[in-house]
Amino acid sequence: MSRLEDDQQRHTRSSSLVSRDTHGNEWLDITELMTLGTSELQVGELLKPESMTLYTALTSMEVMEPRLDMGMLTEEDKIEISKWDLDRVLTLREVLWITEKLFYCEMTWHNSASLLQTLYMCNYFTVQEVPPLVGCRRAENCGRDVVLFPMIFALGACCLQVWMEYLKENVYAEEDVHFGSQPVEFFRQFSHSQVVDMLDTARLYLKETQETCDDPREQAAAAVLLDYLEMRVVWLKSLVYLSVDYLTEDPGALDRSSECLKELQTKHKEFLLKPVDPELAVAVAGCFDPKCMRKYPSMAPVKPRPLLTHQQSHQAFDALIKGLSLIHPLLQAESVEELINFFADFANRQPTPLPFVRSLVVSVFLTNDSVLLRHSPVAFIKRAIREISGPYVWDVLECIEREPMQFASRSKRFAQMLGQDPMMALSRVDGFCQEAARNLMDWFRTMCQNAPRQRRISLKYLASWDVLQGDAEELDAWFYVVSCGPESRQPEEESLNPAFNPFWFSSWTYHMKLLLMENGLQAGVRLDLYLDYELPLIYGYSAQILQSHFDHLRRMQTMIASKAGQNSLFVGKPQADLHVGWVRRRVGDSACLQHLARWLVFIETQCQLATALWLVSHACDRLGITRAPWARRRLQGASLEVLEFCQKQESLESQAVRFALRFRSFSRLNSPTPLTFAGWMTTVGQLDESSASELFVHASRTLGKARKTLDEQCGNLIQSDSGGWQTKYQELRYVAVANAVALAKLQAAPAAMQCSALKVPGSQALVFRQMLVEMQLGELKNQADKNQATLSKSKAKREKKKKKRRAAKQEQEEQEQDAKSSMAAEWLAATDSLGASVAWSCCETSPHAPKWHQFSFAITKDNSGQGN
Amino acid sequence: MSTPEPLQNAPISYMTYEKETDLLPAIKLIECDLSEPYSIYTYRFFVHQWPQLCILAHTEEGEKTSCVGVIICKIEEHRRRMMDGYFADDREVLMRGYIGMVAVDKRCRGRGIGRTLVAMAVERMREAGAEEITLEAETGNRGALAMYEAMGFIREKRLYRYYISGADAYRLKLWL
Repeated sequence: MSRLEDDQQRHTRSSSLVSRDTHGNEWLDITELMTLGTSELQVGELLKPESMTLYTALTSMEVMEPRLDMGMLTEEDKIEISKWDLDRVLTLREVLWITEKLFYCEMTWHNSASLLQTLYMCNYFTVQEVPPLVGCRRAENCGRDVVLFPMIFALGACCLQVWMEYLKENVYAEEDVHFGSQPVEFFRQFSHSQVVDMLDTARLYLKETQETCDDPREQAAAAVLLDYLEMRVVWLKSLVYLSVDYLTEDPGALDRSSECLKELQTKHKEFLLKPVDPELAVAVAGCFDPKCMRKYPSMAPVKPRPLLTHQQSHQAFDALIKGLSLIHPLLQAESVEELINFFADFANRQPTPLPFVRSLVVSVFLTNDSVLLRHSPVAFIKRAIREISGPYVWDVLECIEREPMQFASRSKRFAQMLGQDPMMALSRVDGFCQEAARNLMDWFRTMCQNAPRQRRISLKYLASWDVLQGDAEELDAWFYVVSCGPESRQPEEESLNPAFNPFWFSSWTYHMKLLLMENGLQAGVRLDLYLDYELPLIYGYSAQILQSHFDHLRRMQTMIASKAGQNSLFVGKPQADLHVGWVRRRVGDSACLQHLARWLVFIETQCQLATALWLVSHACDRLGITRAPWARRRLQGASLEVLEFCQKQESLESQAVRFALRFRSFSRLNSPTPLTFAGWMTTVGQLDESSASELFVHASRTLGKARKTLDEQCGNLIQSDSGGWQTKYQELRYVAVANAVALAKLQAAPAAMQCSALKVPGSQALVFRQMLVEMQLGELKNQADKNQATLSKSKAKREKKKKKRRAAKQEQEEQEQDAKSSMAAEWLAATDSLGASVAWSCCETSPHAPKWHQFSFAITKDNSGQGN
Repeated sequence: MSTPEPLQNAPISYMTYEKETDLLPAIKLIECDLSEPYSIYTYRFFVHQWPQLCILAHTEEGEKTSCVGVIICKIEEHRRRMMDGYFADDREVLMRGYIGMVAVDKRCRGRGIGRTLVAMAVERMREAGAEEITLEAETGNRGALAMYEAMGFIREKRLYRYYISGADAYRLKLWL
């Protein structure tokens, strides 16, 4: 036995070190044991298991280090805590202070804080035993028992409703919800009706105080408390009606919740309009204990977090009410197109809806394998495909299902299919739909995550959509071969030719996949992931994807138009549409073509906007208005390591690496054909033939076209079916107009438009830019060399040798590039002249269009003297 | 509040972490910029496993040597979750370098110490086989972002409420 083990045994046997706490737990003082155990360690030595990760290290704490040990009470903490007394008789002004602070706690909790960091801090919230006369008018401590505790019970009931929603795990732990601490039994002590009864008693008491109390400050506090009480009652009702259980069981709950939310919004608005007296509420010392986590040893220790302010809390409450108001239109949606637009709009809301709202939207959309509380996911997905691929294939399938023999007798072409197994067609389609339903449900759920996670998951899911498209293509080819029958010429070959095969299922899948790709790229704009120098690449790539999407939809439109009316051959008995949910209703040819037309306008105008922004950002890059950070930073005094590092970034190899990293999610997809870096360089090379001024002009025209398309076509489309398009079209119109105005401003400045730099072809300008960057870096290297000279003597010697070698190399390079340099200098002078007349304000996104950049050129000085 | 005395002209030397006593001034420096302290185990997790990736910048202040900059990194195998078209298909793991902490004394800022520390650490990680290097920086920390982006890091993703304060972070990545 080692000395340590021997000591350990002796230590454990020593009963004097064992103590009992008030709960009967036995505690062993291990101070001596720890001292013994660590005596052979070196200072700073770390013993760790293999399993210890960085996360383990980050979440470790130093016991009795007050900045890390959240359970440790300092002397100051002890003094503060001792000030609170449960039996203290509270005035209404004190109750108001506690109520308001609890409201801030509640809203901070809704903003992803832990219960320990918020509500549990309130000592009234966590008392072991509730005073016996709570809710009774005969209580002596009316402020506490008649007003405060009922308000706390109501708050607890609200929190419990929210917590039940969180337990569905629709939103993420740590990022959105803290599951480390959970509501204690305190929340469940009273039923909703008991709580409402107690609030009624409190209401009467407060009204009475308002009328009879001699102290005007107490009267004023009673009035504010009444407002909080009224809002609490309606808030609780709203939460109850909006719970998925209630919405499922009671058809009237949706309307009642909507009415409650409207009432709450009105009450809240009125409340905010009333003057605030900051002196009215009176603080209760020791009432909130920021180190309350010591009372809950099983819960994860979290560090205190600042509560939201009064203004922030009410803003959060307003956001909650507005967010929950979206449940009503969500449940009223009557097409998948409308839902896609709803979720796209929801995903882009700024600020991101609070976790509770996002969770509830997910629950309402999909709970217990039921979409929107009543539709099956497979029926829903079939509807989604119908809206895009038209009725043809579905009518055929339904006809087989209803009357297989009659169908066979009417259609020789499809008799072949029946010869194999009529139900096989149906089961194969169902199998695909189940798989597709999983993908689509995941996508909708993803749109309800916080914005950064939306992008990450969307890009991750692209691979599964790619696989699904493969499955869909197989299904399409099979369906085509079987349905064409033996009379068709070479059906196997035709089955893979888009000119013959409409590709019903894979067309829809491809449409969805392209949408996902577009969202992924645009989400990066919203999240500010792209720097200015990356914009030509991002918009250029986006334009290519959008063009593929447009071509695809156009092909579908042609195909569906060509099949229109042909399905009448197969339609048996008309369906009783009125008695089925909208997901099962037939989508006719014209309805499908309308859906496609709306998508086409949306995709076409986005493609035009992306193209225009690509041209503008490329021109700005060419003119040196935007510069990559390693080329524009002031690097004086930087070390050689840094300078060499920066210089590498300009190389084609580095550009190719960044390209691969930025688009790596797309690089493995089977379709659309991924754009390679070489392909991208070729595409960019096509712009070389145009000068920067021509690019600006072309961009202006493209923006004009987009605006015209939106103005001319959207009015009719929106009138025929809103479907949530209005907001989307308005956003695109805003982008088109804002950027067109910026370009018009630039083009109206003669000094800017007559600048010789604008006339330089792209390839030449890029060479100049690279040369100038290298020259600049060369100069800065010399500067850095001077700085390095102050280092130690031996290092200085080495540097001197290096410097000699570099100087010789530089001299050689300078001779070779002398002629080009003078041209580059001229170009630089021209761009400087441009810079003097045009101030580039970094392009930014706008709340009106968070997924697009808005360029802005401020004409600061006009060299021609004409002004602006 | 007293303004820190500038140390603009004092020469800077760089050294690799050797022993526990090197760490304490570095911790002090890092904690100046942190709203919440790291536990000592976090620092030791890094420096005991990858001491060569902990680089310190020193300067002479009167007769004593002061730590005015520090970078603490690690390099580990990282399981690939996504086929990305850059690395070979059959590779399931890649070597990922990670910059855990960087701090520069306020009095010495603007002298390129941070950039030099990063460049040195990146080079060492490259030599140790790193294929990519990542780090997190607060979205509002313009200075840090500009420094890393000038060295070719790109904003790969945004991390929601990454910090205790509720602020978001960018995950920056450099492919080597």
